[in-house]
Amino acid sequence: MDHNKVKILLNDYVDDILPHELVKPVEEHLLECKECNNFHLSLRTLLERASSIPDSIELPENLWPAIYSELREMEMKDKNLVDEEGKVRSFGELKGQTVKPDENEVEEKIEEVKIKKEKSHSLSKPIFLSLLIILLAAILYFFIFNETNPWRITVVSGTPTISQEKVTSNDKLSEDEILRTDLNSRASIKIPGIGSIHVGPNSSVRRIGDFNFRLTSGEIKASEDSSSEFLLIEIPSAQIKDFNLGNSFSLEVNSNRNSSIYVEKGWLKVSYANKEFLVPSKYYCNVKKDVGPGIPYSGLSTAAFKEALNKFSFGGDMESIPTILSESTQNDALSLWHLLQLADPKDRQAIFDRLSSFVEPPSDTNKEEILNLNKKMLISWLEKIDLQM
Amino acid sequence: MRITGNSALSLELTKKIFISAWMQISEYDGSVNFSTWLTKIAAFNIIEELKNKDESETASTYAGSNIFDEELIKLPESERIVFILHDLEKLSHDYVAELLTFPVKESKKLLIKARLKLMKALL
Repeated sequence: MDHNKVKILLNDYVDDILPHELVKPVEEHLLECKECNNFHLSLRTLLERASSIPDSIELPENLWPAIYSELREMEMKDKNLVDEEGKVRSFGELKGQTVKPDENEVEEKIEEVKIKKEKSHSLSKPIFLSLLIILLAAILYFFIFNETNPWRITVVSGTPTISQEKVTSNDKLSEDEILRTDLNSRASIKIPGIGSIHVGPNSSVRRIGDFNFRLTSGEIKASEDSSSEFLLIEIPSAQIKDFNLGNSFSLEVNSNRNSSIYVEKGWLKVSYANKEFLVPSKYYCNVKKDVGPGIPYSGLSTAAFKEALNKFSFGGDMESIPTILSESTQNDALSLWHLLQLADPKDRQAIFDRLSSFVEPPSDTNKEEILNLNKKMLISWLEKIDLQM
Repeated sequence: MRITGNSALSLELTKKIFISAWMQISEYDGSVNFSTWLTKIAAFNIIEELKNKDESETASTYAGSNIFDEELIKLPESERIVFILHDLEKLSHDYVAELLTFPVKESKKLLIKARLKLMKALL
């Protein structure tokens, strides 16, 4: 890659806004190009220094008197129709006019002023009271409205950071912020309506919405112990969504941006482009960058089954189907259910027979329709598989 | 102060921002952090003010209170503003570009220029 182009891309890279497809080429270039790697390190050093300069510059002494004076002036403008004793001035006097206005107009104005005086009664209180009200309003807004769905962080070990600033327990992770852990740090995030997300070392978690985050690297473990909402996680080349509530699962994105998901409890839906897989408890699902997820497999599957399934999922190797079938056991029923829908029509019969030997299709379905991938019948069979798993 | 580089103008703007936030507090709906909301009001007021002032009125009177600020204040105004809004105030390129009424691409370009100059001067 061209050095100058990489240097431009590195600015987006350090800001974590570089498109996924460019991350790997840039990272590979950094490994082999000393010049760009030095530039990358300098850029990070600059940003670290920028984040350590004092947040504020000392305020001039006359700032608060100046604001006081400005507010007072505004207050006086509000009261400009009322004199110091609170008596209504004549209309001509108020406007600096010498011509006597129409009597009805004066009457109307006097009424208007009386109402205004009543309204402005509270404004005659000391100005610091106004400042206090503003402060209270700000605090109320901050704590009532801004805290509708705070993601609270607990530091488990080391020094996790957000925007290169050290995080302490009870800090919040707001939308678009990225929580980062290094080799020695771990944290957990409490997400209202979901539960806890435990963030492992060398991880990067960007909050996207109230129930949505992106894991670009590292590992997390989710315990949806207070789940009333569906969690959505974005990882390179896949989206993971709760298929039901109360799941427990772990997820890892490695340095090559390939991922591995393990569901301890519940069901997840993993999707990418036109692929969509359901991952039940005790099942794994691997995701390959730019390819997407592969067919999920049981933790009890044999090594030969997993190898053959891997060849089919990521290499499109139809020749691996006989091995998949011969190595399959009852524990692999869900993998076969997915395989049936991805295999060529000529292979479906054999897959149907093998899966039927583990879990018979429900009585309200028929073989022909299933082989034609009738969605309703496939779901009906899946429900039966789920019951027997 | 870092953006304007001018003490008198900064004082004037701080007053304006404080009062502006006070007047708009009822519009704050809690959809973003209060600090982000306040930063956006501040940024908006500063940019509007700079647009409406002559160069003579915004001439730099602030030399910086630390070495970083000293170098920052030497940057051309547009680069300095983008660097401060993006890298110090953590506003996105989208919002910086919206405030400064130019394309996101321009915001990125100015940020790169500012970073390069600061790297050269400080590292």
